[in-house]
Amino acid sequence: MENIRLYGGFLRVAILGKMQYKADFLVGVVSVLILNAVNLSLIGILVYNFNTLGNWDIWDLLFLYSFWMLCRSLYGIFSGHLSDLEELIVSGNFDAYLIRPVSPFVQLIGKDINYSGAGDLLVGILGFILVKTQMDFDWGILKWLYFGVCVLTGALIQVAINWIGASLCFWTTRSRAAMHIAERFTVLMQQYPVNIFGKYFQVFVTCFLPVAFINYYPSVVLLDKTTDKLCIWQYFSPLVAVLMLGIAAWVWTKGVKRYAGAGN
Amino acid sequence: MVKEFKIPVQKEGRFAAVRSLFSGDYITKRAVDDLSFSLAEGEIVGFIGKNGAGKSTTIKMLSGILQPTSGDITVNGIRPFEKRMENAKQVGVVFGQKTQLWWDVPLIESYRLLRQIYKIDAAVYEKNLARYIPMLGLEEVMNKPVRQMSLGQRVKSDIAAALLHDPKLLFLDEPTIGVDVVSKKYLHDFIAEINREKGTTILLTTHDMTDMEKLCSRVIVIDAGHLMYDGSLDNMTRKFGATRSLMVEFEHPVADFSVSGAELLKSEGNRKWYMFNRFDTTPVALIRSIGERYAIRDLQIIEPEIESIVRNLYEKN
Repeated sequence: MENIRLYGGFLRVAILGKMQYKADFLVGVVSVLILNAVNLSLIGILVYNFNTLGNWDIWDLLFLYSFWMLCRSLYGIFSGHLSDLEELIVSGNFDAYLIRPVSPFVQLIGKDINYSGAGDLLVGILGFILVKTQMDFDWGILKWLYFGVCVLTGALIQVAINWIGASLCFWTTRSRAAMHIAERFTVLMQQYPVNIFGKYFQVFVTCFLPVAFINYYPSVVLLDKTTDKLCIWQYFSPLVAVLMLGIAAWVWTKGVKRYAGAGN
Repeated sequence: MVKEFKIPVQKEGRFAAVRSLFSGDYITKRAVDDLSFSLAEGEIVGFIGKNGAGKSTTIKMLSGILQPTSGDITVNGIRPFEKRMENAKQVGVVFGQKTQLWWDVPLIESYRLLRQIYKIDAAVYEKNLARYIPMLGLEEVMNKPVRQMSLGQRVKSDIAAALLHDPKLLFLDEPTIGVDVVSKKYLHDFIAEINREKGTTILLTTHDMTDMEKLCSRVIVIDAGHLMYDGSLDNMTRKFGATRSLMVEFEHPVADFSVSGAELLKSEGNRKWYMFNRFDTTPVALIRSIGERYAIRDLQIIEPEIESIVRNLYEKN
């Protein structure tokens, strides 16, 4: 509770600081919108020509993409700056986080808020509305609830992956390259249904780098794409989020300890 | 206490960078080596040594940022590394080269957030601000973001920030580095006053001799992580500042002459300067032997400057 109050305090200062650079904010939002429009139209062209990818038609794919955009925007707005940890460690500014009586993670996550993620949010919402008018699915209250929960847990899975990636710099000092690869990989695969890839790939994104739980499995459930055999793990997104956050917190704590032991 | 750092060995030859990355070879460097000292409550202690002597590492261990490799540290009854958060509440730390304030927001916003972080009582917060702002001349920068401040203003703001929660101890790591003379004077007066008023124990690392002369009754000198001297500033002068000089002004111009136990430094008009070692000769003996030969009008004993003493200290090792 105390940490949430403090997080609010840190965020307030971050926002006050941001307001000094309004042009930067506008450019950020506009560029994200353009980027997403280009991305979407590329997929559109592909699907228009092929009609379907596996058993997914264009509206299914747009659903998948919008779902991811919603998760990504939440993650981006609140924790896109986790990768700044590298800079903090290299510059020695992380020291300042350790001389205040506040959890260093609260300070890191509270150091910034990224308005440009609002571009993703807008794309996600527009995409979802478009899909809804086209497919006209009729969800009960439970499905809507599940949708909400999965957007949140999808964002949290991505937070956890990046949190782990960022924490690696406690050992390696530089981890941006690894994070960049993970990020590119995530971006690539969130736009396509996982079942069009090979078996090993599906196992990899389910068990090792569980990005399939961000938007693919929730979409499978929500769009009734479940094949004949019952796959219980399709419902595991919230569980995976909790598990991943636990692992991330553990790696982070180890990392902070190591920083104090090894110094910089 | 001891603090060791492991530094990866840089390989030579082909693919050196890649091989270094995967090799487990380290050399161990002792940044702080068997250093031991204690501070009494309410003391201002100068902590000096050349760059890389281990001063900052020691301060980081005292603040709980780094864990000692071996040995023990207690700060007001708390082991900083074991209870970092608790320790953080009772100490204030300022790194002169890096600000801990929020860069883009007006200074007052940084202070508000610190108030929230340290859970400072509203009355205490108001009282401290009302005291610190005029003492440091911060009135005009309260609404200025830190990035627009001069170095002097920034350091003053940082020191006030570190004292908002009334810490028992204050660690200042090179607070006056690069700061102009006027701001330095503000800082000296402020630090001395806070120490007198609140009894804050202060450990101050510096290369600036005026800092030491103005503030510190006791100095700790370290070199290569070792303790070299711990005692009063006067004692240090006596112990390490062996060479003093004597200026003699004669009634009439006198040709250069030598005195046993002293060396003629320079002559200027009726004046001559002699350098002597305090352990070999006393000024009285010198004056007597000169006075026997020529009429003396005036005398002055010149003590070595602390700066040259410290230089001596560093060079000895």
